[in-house]
Amino acid sequence: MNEPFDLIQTARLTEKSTLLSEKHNQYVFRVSPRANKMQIKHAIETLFKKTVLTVNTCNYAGKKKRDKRHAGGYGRRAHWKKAIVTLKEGDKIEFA
Amino acid sequence: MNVEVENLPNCMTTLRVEVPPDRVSKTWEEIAGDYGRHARIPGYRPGKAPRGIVEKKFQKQIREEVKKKLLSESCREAISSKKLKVLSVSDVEDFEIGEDKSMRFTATLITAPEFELPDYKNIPLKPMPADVSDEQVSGFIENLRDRFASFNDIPDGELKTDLFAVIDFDGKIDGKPAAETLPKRGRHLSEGENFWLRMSPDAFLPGFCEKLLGAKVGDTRSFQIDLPADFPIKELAGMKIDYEVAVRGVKEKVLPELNEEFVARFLPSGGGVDAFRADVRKRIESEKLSEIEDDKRAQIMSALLEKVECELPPDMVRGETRRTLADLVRENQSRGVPDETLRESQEELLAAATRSARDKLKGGFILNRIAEQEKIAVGKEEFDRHMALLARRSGMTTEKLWRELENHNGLGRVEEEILNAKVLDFLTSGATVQPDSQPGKSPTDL
Repeated sequence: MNEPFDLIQTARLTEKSTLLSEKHNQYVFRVSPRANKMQIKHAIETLFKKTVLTVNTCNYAGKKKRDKRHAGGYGRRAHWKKAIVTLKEGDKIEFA
Repeated sequence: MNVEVENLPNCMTTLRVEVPPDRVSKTWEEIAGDYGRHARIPGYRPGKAPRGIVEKKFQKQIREEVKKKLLSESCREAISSKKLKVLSVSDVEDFEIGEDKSMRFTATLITAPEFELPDYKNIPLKPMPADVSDEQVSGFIENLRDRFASFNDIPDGELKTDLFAVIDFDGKIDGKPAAETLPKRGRHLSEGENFWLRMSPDAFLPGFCEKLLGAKVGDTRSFQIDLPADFPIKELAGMKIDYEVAVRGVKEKVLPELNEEFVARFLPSGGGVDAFRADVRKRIESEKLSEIEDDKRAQIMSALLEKVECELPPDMVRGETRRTLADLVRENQSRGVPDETLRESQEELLAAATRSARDKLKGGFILNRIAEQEKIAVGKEEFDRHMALLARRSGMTTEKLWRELENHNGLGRVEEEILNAKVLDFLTSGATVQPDSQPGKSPTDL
């Protein structure tokens, strides 16, 4: 379960992530909530063959959603983790 | 832009075009930019997505649009740079946009045939007499009288030549009803009721009328008819048919007298027989004048067709033949020719349609070349006037006719018709009628 493909779920391609990649050489990924920064760094270096300088993470709580199948009438979207990975200068990841 | 032209037989030309990368890139950028401005991609506001992502997501669509735009543009440019007279684009193949963004394709074109224009000015024409003789006037009036003839019964009369017999007839071959033996084309000879027969040697079957001479109303006659070896319906040639014929009536054809009363039917303004004769003469004269004009055009066309030899595009010949054949079949059907007869003579019909289609296409190309040479063109006003005339003839509004022709790609055809008529007018005005030569054929003989 700690394989790079399990830890790194998707690259987040948004206006904000594009801006970060253009200005600060930072790339944004959605990662497994169980992954720690060391694991994320190792996974990115293995998958993309680039050198990672720093990893910043933030945990997001899944949104509360109305769902009558659950007790109390509410369910939840999955909690998730975002990783902002800074690469060494000159390293680039092409998503397009 | 690199263009290679290869001329093939049958008016076909292959065009190999290579569009330089900078032009393809420019067009690609334009179209991708347009997509980028409107694309809705999750994670981005419309128009804010990076070009790379837009191009990746809409690569197929952008490629198609670039192809469509550059194909028509570069094809048009290549044709005009090589001064080709293109009738239509038959096929586009081997299209590719390379890694270096250069574009290549091969287009197969149908081009107008190349030929030397013959001397089309002063085409000598055979004259056609324009004067109307007294015999022609009398013949016209006699025809009218014949059309308005009445048939009087002669109850006690004997059948004589030029009288009319009303008969019932029943034919048998070897004792069996003729209908069982005769082929479908000859069924009408097997039996008939209240059949009107003009007593003349060449009416109905050879020798049939002679056998009835002298018969009276109520008489019954039995006789055998030997159909000759050269009988027009081949399957019946040499057959012997036994007929039993009952005479129901003897009638005499009575022509109306040429008097004021008869003449008043056609000349409501009055004036009597002499005025009628003058009116008929005028009518024949005006018909003759238009016949002469048609004859001149036909002579000019046949002279031009004779002088020009050229290849014709097979696809166009096929299409035109199909249209002409359909017209021929429709015309024959409206004249009452049975479908079976048409099927039997389909080879002759097809040959006639092909000949006529080839002449029509070739004639069109020649007239077009003359129009180019003489700078004859169809103006907008002329076109509108002709459309209004066509609309009036077909009983619809000009707008509706316009719409219908547009839907069936017929506007070009109308324009071509007007242009051809103008060129023919030009040629007719320049043609010289040779007074000493033999009279030309009338258009109906051509």
